[in-house]
Amino acid sequence: MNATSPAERRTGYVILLLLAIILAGVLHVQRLFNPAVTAAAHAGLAAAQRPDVPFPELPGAQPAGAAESFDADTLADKIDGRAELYLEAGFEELRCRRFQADAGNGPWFEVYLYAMKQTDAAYAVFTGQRREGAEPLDLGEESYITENALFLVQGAMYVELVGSAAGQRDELIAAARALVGAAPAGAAGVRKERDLLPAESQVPGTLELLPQDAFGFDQLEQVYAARYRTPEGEGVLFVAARASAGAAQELARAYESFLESNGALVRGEPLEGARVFELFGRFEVIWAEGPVAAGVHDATSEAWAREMTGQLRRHLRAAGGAP
Amino acid sequence: MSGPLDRRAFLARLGRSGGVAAVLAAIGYSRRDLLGPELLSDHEPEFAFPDYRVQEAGARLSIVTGDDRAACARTALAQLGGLGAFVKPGDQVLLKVNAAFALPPLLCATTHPELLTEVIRLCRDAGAKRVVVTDNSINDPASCFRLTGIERAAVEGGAEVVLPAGQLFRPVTVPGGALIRRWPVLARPFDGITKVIGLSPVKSHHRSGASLSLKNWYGLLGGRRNVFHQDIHSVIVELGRMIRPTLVLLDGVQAMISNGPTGGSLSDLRATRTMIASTDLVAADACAAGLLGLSPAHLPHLARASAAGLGTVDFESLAPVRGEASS
Repeated sequence: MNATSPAERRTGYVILLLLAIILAGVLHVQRLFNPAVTAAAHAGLAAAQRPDVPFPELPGAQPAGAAESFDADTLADKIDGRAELYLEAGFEELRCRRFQADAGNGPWFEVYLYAMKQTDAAYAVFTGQRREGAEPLDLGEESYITENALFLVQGAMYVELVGSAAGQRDELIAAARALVGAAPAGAAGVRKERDLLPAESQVPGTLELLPQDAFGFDQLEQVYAARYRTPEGEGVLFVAARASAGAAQELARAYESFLESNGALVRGEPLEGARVFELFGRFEVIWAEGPVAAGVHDATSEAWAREMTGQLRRHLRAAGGAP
Repeated sequence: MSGPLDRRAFLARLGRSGGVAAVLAAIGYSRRDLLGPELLSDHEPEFAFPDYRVQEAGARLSIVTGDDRAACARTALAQLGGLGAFVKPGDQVLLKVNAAFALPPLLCATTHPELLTEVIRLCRDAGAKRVVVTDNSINDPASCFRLTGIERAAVEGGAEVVLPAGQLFRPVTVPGGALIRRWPVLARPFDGITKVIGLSPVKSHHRSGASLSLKNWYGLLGGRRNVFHQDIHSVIVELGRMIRPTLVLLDGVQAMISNGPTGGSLSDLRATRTMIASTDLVAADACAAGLLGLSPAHLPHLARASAAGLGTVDFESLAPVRGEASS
């Protein structure tokens, strides 16, 4: 083989350097956000609405328009900025349609059927938008009604019935019953995790599933949390089931590190190994109870945090730990 | 094994590789696209919005409390010097409403028809030759304008409703903008228009924190505008630079304090009993943020809009005129 001369070697290096500069330039330009690129890729989507969208019949209500269907790419065409809430939780399809009790210009209501990817996703969007002080109903797996609207979750389906006027209670409930009858229920035991939170002192209507970034920590996902209030104080109790006791312990340690990195200070003696932190005048505790990471968040006093830690711990042990 | 290259072989090899490189370069040059993909024809001339501000009016802010939207609007505008200080006889006025969703007016997700009716009437009283009402709805436009009551209020008030259609869009580039570049904008309804008034409800917004007067211009964007949600605060600032209206009215008689921008339940609303009128959109939004329990710090686009010279976050510095709605 011919040996490369120094000149050839230098030439080769120069060429490689030029290629590297070109590559860097391409990567830089690719990083620049150009909405027209995404828009061009979706140019034909507006015309891709499915015709003849199947929709459940609602006894006693007449359709007041065609049914519509929206997927992950077009969901924002219906609900604009709220779309991200569903997309982040795990969304499949939205079907919606307006109905009226009688044809004409009277009150109408619109039904939104959100098919989520799994039951936890449906529960997350249901609890994430729960209206405080609403009247709970015995419909579906969970539901509530306000002056003009009804909201429910059934399996992987999240449903909203939004009335054009108040005073359509009977129509909304009848419609919801029909929809629940037509929707598959969630698998038995899939939501037992929320039962790991005690009912005593829980503020009604505050139980929610936080799918990600709970309390600002990116590793706290799929967290069931609820607000609790007693005469001595208030705060949030939470549980997050993990695959193993080791994983739960790792999560607890990671959250403690997160708290400390944000300036939290340890207060008093640990509670069976669980340290009590103070952060900006509020108190935090987290520990692993078998495969469940459990804790107290945003407690108004150290004494309250300790008391509720004991209460939650007793409840978890009585429940046997894992859901 | 071959021996060292002689000059002839070297030149031949150099020529072949050079030729290949030249062909590749020629192909690349012929495929060059310095501007990137665009949504509109290269031949469509760009449109730039005129400045619709009444310069002698300066920066003014009016805050009115009350329960009646028409009375609140009337009083708020009177406190600015009356709509006649802005709309002159012969003016052609465009009212940019929020008709984004096919929702009933009681849910306050869109411009309330009571407010629209009153503003149209005031424009007529000021001598406006023509009043146009428009928006590029998110849902089906015909349904949106009908079910929100906006169409009826406009038609009964003698205004002209312009629903979005493909031929009404023109490419707009915001100078120095990174997002709105040759982007389709609902611009043709502005042909002949001499004054522009924005009418916005006060709403929380899942993405931007709040939907107020600056964000109202999002309703002029066409195409797959939801891509801008990825950089919502930047696009709101660019919207503020794209169009400088005559004035805006922010309807906080009932504010959507949760689950915005669509809401859906009456329990998402709170009777904040406030109407804000201003020639300074940044100041108006900074003022309205308080109705949602927010401070301007919660809305990063406000500080950025202020830094861009679009107004002031310190709305109190405008010495706002405050009052109760009078009939």
